Amino acid sequence: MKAVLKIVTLILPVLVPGLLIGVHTSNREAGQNWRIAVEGYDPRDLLRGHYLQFRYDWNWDEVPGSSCEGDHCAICLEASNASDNRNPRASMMTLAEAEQQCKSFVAGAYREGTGFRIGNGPGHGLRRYYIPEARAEELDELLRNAEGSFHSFEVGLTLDGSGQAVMDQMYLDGIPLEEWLELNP
Amino acid sequence: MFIKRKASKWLEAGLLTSEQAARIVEFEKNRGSNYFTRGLYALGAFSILVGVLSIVAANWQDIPAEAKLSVHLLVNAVVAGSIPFFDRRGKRLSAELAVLGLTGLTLTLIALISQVFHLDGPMASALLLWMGISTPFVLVYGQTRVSLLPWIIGFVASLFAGLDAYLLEELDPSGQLVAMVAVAGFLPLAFLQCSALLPEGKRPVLSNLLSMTGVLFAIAIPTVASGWWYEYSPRDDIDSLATQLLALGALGLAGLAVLFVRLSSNVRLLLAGGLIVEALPLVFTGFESGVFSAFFFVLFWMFLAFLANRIRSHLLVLLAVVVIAIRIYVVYLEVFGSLLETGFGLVLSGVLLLVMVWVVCKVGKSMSGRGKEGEAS
Repeated sequence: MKAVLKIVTLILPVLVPGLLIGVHTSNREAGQNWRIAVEGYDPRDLLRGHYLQFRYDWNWDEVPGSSCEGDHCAICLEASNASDNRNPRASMMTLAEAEQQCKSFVAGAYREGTGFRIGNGPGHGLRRYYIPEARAEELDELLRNAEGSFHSFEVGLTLDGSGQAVMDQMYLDGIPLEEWLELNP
Repeated sequence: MFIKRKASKWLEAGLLTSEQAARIVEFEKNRGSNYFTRGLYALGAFSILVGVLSIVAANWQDIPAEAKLSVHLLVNAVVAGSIPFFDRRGKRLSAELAVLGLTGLTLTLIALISQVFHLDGPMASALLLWMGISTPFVLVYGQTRVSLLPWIIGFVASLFAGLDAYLLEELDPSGQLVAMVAVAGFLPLAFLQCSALLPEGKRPVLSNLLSMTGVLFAIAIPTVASGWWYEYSPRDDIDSLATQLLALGALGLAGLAVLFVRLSSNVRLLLAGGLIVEALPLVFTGFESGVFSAFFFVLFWMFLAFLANRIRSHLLVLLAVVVIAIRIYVVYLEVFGSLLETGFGLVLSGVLLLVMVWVVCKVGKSMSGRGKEGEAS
């Protein structure tokens, strides 16, 4: 018994990360996927280490904040175009309402000033994306001047039935960022 | 070679016989060459490791995420498998290095998963997961400081990060104060108690590390708490009598625990003294003064010097004297700092510094002399 427990202690550090990889891969592949436009939100601090920081540019149906404020909010997403998952129409509601009325929603918190933040945990609210260090400055510049240079940044979000969101990947001008970087060396 | 010169000096002074001197020189010579060979092996291994890491880092973006995760997972599995392999063959150092390696690799794998899947989580959750899955194998297989010291540093860092992200963030300022005071009161005790709970003589290094961590907290926390006498300190968050009583109650409970937990009398005294230093600024909330802060700081470190003298730790006595001297100099600058604008102030500061250095040296020498007399008697 003691020998088995000793072996279990060594299996844990391999098994748990292995399970995590499986769960995250499955979460990313299952559920409804949407592409949301993003923009830089703080000209001083878009780039932190290897991460590009951004905020979501939701396609609001109505002014957010009028229907929910606080921790238990959600954004209900509906396709703008039946055959497309890009730029869905977004409407803010309480989490309880979203669970009843909405096919696809992302749970989070809404506060005046900071806007909607995905999730309620102490994390960053899925607002940063890992990018290659060698192209970091260039991408920072592109995101900073996205409007002027006619580049569009989007982030793919996969949503499960309970409103939990998983970040899929970033898109630049409609193609996955990694591919864009290869096409534009 | 220094040892040869030293041995001949000791021989001249009649401390060694010529045979003993020759044996010491021979012993050190062999030991030195062993170190040299091991050092070269370690340097070679280190160079290979850095080389491999550099090659991987240079091509990091071109390696598919699945490959990065699979290879990392495989490396972790191989290192995990090597631990019982080395352990059964009695290769202690290799087993310890493998435990240390797996501890580090577990953290890097968690970081890699977080990077590949762009996970939304604070650093604290990664650290807590790391400690959660690393602690069992470190405690089972780690026997020496090679694996246990980095683990305990990681454990403490994860503990503080977890408290900050999952407890303090959830509380209002007065709740944060009560939680902080409770942690300050119980943390040293928790480490000391964990050490005491280990079977006697079974895990000496782990027991020693846990008790050392407890003692370090028992010294560091009251030292920081003496700063609560200043204006703008955490005690500003006491917004009602209930908060004040809750904070003091937490320290009182910690005090009761100190009475009932199995500890040596010196450690019990250290913990009790620390709790008093932490409680006083919470009792007398109306008093705000840098001089009070310095007074309780100095008082606590004098108490430490007294305890250090009881256990005949001359190094700790000297450290206490030096720390007290620096604190007195700081309070002098705080109180009479404006005088520094004049030449008179500079001269006075210089004289004060010289006098204090002289006093520190005298006290240190006197303590050291008394210690030697005590040992001789």
